[in-house]
Amino acid sequence: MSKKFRQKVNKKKVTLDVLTYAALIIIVFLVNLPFISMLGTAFKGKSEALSSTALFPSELKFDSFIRVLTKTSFPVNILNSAIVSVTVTVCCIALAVCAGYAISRFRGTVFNLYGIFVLLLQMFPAMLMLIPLFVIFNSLHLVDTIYSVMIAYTAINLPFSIWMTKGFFDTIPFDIEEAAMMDGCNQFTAFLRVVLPISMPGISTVGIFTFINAWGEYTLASIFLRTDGVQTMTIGLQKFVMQFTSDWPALMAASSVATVPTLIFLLIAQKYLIKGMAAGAVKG
Amino acid sequence: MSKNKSHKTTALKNKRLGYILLIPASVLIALVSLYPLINGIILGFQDYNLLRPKKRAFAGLDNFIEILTKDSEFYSTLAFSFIYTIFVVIVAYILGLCFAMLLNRDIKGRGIFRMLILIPWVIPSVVATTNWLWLLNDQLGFVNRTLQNLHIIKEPILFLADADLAKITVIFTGAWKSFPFMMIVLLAGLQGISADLYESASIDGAGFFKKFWYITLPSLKSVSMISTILMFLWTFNNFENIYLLTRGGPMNFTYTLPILSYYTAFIRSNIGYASAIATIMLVVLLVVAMLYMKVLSNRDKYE
Amino acid sequence: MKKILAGSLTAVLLVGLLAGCGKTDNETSGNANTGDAGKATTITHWEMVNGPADTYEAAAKKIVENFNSSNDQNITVELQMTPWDNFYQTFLTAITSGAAPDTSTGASTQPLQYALMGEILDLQPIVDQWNEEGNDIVNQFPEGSLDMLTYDGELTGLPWALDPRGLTYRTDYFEQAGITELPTTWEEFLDVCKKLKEWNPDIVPFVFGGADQMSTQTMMMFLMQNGTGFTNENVEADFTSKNVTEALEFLHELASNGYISEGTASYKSADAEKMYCSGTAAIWFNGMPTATIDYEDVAANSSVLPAMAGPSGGDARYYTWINSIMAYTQSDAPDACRAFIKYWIENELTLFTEGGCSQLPARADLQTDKFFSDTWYTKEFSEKVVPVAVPQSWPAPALFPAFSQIEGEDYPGKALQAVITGDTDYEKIQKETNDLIATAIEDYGADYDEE
Repeated sequence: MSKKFRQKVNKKKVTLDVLTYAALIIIVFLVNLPFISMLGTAFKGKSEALSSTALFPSELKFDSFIRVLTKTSFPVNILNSAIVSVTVTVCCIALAVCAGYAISRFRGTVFNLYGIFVLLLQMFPAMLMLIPLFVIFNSLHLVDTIYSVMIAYTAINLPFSIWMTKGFFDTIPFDIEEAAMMDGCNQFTAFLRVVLPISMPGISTVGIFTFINAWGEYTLASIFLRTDGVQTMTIGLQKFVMQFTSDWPALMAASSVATVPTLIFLLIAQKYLIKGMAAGAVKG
Repeated sequence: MSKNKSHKTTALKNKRLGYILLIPASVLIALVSLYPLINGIILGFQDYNLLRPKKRAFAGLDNFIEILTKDSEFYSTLAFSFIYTIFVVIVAYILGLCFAMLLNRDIKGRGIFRMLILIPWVIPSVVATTNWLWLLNDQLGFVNRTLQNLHIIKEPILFLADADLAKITVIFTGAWKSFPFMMIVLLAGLQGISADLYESASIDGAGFFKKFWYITLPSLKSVSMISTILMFLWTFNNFENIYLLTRGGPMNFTYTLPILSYYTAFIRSNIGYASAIATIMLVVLLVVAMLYMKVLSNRDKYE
Repeated sequence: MKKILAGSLTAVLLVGLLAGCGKTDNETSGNANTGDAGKATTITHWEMVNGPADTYEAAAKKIVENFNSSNDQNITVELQMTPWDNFYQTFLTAITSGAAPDTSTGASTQPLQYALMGEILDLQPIVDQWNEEGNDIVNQFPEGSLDMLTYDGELTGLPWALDPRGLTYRTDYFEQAGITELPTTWEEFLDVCKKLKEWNPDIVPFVFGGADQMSTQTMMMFLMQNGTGFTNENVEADFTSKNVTEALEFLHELASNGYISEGTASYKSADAEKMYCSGTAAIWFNGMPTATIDYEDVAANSSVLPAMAGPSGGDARYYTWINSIMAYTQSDAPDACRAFIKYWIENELTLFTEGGCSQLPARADLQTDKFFSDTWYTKEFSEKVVPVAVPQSWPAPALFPAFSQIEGEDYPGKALQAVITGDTDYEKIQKETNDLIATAIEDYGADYDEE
């Protein structure tokens, strides 16, 4: 009886697996149509990019990639984006865990309302905050330095990150710190040595969100970064776009190049990301 | 949460540590978000056109009164902004949930599939939009040509030229960009559900839909609430998706408030009026946020 | 996990170092030092992305470097390429915050707009200098273009490029469809479309970007061919006239007979470009079709239609945008700005010949360069379009303050969209559009008259 049941279950699992794979392949194809079209155009090269209406190139050509990587400042832009995104991610995590911990563990008006307050700030359309922001950064001599976007992106990503880390710390019982404090830690060292390590999955979740956001931001970058040496990937992309036409194969090749690092990053990170979430960031 | 409160011994010192921990984040937020925000709200009370900087003057509630009593463009835009935002969130949620359930199954290579489904999240918008336009083109677009070759449709679908379809299309591309976030959040939620629950339900003879209805959905409740409200705020303030795809057209059928305030600020150069529009948006979102807070505090009570 | 943490920390340290190196001297980026001759002066020039990234930036850089090494006033120009995307915001933010560039190129309406803000430097001294030197350049600019750029007695910019609009077509398709006479009137144009449609129903006879600013530009061309614009010569809204109705009826004919495809109102310039280059469309309204050069078959079989006249238009017409280079009053070194702009105009040829700029030089003497007769589209546009092209503000004698709003918000383009998506209530469309145009003009006019 139980053997039969198991066989039945196994058989059912196999059919379900096959169905799952079929569904996934179709879904991956459909949601990635723009991505496929982008790669297709990039590999079509200059001679076929607009003349062919097919999704895939008739033969793989690399001329657009070579042009983008050797004849333009795009590689520098990618490097700048990497520097900015990594820095922003680390800074954002550092500030968010501190603030998240504070509002998770302490009680009082400030702590209770802080989360609501930071969220409020995100409800105003960013584009209308640009002029005052520019004035401040200009007076601090930050315009046209890489620090301008580092500071701005860190601040912009903080509210969501604070919320996420707070949710995490809420799930960690206070007993753990108490035990550490018995052993001679003060609350801050207990936080650093005991709470943070347990929260690593959640922290990596915050990091991934921040990294992706910083990597893809355009508007602030376009306003603050003026020279090739400091400009980021998204501005580099826009340099292939003219007023009513564009260097389409170069644009597509450049964005393919820009997407690859994030994909590798996602492949490695998705494990932690999902673990992190499951550990309680959003679930609470 | 009450656990924390009961810990009295180091309460005073603790609070000081708490304030210290808040300082770095607060400084940055004050500089980059709070000051510009206050500045933006103040601008809403001014008659300020960028092209006439010398004529800048305090205008009291003039801008607000004009928007709320005379500006029919504002109301029609507000209406579509809500429709757009609500549907993007719903579609993104449904897609995210379906994909999350598929990817929660224990199959080989799911890491790769997860990555592949997250791609829409990382493609730069300008590139994604151009490719969407080419794909959806009525004459040479892959989508229309494939559907025609399969004899599913005879005449091409006018995804972005027909007023009603254009609304649906911008909603779908908006949801396309947003569902990966939903998927991750919901996948995390699904992973938090104990397998025992499903097993015992199976033994009780519950089918897929019963399990979905009585186990999956209730377990995802808090995750879903929070992620949908966050998504609502982000979508309501999103400018790129529609602007790049249709610029608010055909005619003004896909105009949203961020596009209206962009045009008002930088093409009509009327920063004062644009800031007033943005301030009203802030109030509207505040109402939504209060809902959000209520959800959160309810959740805290249950714990 | 510890590894990740350690890695991140290392990254932070590294990044700190790298970022320190990448920091540029921002003191010089906004404003320049005083411009005494002999003392070093640095100015910043914002150049729009007017050509392909790999060639155009290099050509612009070359001009700047040549200027830097050849000028005897110790001026150094720093070149900063500026993307078109969001440029309204980029410029306005910088100017409003006191961080304007010293000089820039830009959209054709920019000089006037910023002149209204009191931010544009008078370039008349350059013209005076040319006159003193006996340099003929002044006479090479398009007729009336300097007047067009004069506001309140000051010269707000100098024309450096023409961006003409024209109708490109496939000669092979015309031949196969048995079209021997090229259209010179709208009626003949409809006839040509009919023949193309009969010859091959899968080919779209006529395509243009109906969703972006090309919608307004298409409308402008047809209005001008029918003897009007969205304003009259006194800069009053003029969208209710019979001439406009005729243009809308013509568009309706194009749409209802399927001479333009049903999706036209959703096409961005990118769609139209792809449809023409892939052979899906036979006639294409656009600027100079630079992309065709990469597709031999297309380039070998393309030509430009002669200008047409509408039923009430009189002369056959095309039109052109006249783009300018300008300088800003925020600059501390106005003389250096003028010296650089003078040099730019005198030496701009390589931007086109080497940089692949998708426009034509504004100076007539440069248009005769061999380069422009060697490339099919520059040759045809300078021969068939430029001679019959009126400036963008025609029939108004000069650009006016509300122009950039009317164009930027596509009021005329939205009228076009309404008609090609099936609305035939011309009276209502015309009245609504006219009101929008009138309001925009009034909004600007009222205030400026006082000054």
